[in-house]
Amino acid sequence: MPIYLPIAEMSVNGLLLLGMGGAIGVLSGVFGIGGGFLMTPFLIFIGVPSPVAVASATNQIVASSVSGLTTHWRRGNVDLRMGGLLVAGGLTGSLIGVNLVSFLRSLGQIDVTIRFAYILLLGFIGSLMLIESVRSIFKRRRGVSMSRGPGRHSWMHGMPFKMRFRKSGLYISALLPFCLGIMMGILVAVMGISGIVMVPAMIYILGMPTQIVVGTNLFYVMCVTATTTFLQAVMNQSVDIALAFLLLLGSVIGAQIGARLGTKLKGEQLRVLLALLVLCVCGNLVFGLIATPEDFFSLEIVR
Amino acid sequence: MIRRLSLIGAFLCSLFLGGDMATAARPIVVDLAQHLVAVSTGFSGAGMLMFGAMDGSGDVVMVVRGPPEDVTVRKKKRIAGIYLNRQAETFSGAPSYYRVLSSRPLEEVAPPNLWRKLQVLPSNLFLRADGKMLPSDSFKDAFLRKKEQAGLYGCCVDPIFLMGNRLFRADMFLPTNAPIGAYRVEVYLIDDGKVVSAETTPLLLSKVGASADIFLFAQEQGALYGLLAILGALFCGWFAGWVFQRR
Repeated sequence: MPIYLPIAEMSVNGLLLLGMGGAIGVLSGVFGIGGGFLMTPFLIFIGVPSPVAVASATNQIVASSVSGLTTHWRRGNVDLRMGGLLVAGGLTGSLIGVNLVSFLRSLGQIDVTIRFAYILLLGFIGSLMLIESVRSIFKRRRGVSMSRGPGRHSWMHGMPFKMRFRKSGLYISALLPFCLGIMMGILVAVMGISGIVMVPAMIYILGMPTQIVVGTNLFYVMCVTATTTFLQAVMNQSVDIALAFLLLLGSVIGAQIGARLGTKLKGEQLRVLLALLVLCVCGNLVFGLIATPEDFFSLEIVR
Repeated sequence: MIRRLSLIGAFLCSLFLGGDMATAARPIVVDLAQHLVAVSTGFSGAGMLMFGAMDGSGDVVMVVRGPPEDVTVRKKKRIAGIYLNRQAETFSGAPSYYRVLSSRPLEEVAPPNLWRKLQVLPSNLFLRADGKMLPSDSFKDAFLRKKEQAGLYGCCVDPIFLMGNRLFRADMFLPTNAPIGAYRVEVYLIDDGKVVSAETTPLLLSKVGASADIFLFAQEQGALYGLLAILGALFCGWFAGWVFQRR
């Protein structure tokens, strides 16, 4: 089913995009991540120019996150107060990040630095999560009573502006989610990733319950991607509505299935799976750096 | 600009070669079944019929060029065990699409130096990278190879059929990734290893209907387009959630 994409200026197989949207939608619903880290490389692989791929995948993520969000919302898995603070921090952070990128670019070698930082970050988070979640599964099997939520940092409880987050069952400083939001916003601008780092950060740094993290992160992702889509459309005219629509048709349905699957899993099972996913992405990046490329050359149309 | 001049130069050169035989100048006329290829939402490539008439015997060679573009070629290098993009050259004004058709294998029609002069065959294209007259061979080779892999450059696959040394016709297929813009079809009548006549005709690849409207809308009303994109996505996501809730 060939469909011509007006902004990407190429023809694609519509069914392929529907299927891919569906598959990534399921992941998005289960883990509460956007899935941009999988969708963007896939689009570039089938020949979509990279600025269009990035911007259109962002637009599609708006839809899949809303779709997953509605389900989590009904189940009471969204901490709006926490989400709002994260979004406020995230938008501030992406402003800082955009400027940081141009500063780093003026120093040169930014791409290598980013890629290394990305690998280190993912490798670190993935291994920590895997160890922690596997351990807690074994603990549960042996019948040891669990302390609620992993990761407890006492220094965080001394910070000012304490706020009660009833959904998350937390009484912590409002500065914590705000600062975390800023850091994530910088990551989005510099590396183009968010959910895959945000979810572990909410679990381990803020100490939120895993199910609430998934719903809250979907809210965060929705706000951030909607803002980014708008900026991309205004500044680069790189959002391809036809492409985004094909992707989101599949992904909104996938996200529903995913959100249902996700609520059937226990918190630590979800964390094991997410840890494995993070490590796979990390391993793939490492492989891409060290494996001998099939072709040493690549083309990019400048104008 | 320099690139354009060299193209015009090559073209004048071909006319001049024709002028060699001014006394025996033999006209050639060429036309396309359609000069405007409409790229609509269902575009899946387009067949092109090119036909024409010539005076007397000879071979016909056609060159189809797409709108010029700037392309950066990057080369990966291994540093401390990892592969990184280290070198790059930017080719400016290279044709985005390039295809040669001929009535007989080129080597039987004329000697190689004529093809170099006319820039027939991808390897004979005058490509300039970063202002240099001669780009490095490895980068030029890589550029041509990548373009061929993408189906945008090619030579000598589609034949031109000659009928009674009077008429000719050729079929060509424009792929789905053919760039939008103004193309040019050059036709040469070659006899005895010399160009006896040349002609060009334009070809326009243009978006029409919904795809043109969407493109224009995105370009001219970026903010509104962005808002609609977001609202559409929000609605679809919410609608899917609503439908699944009911079941």
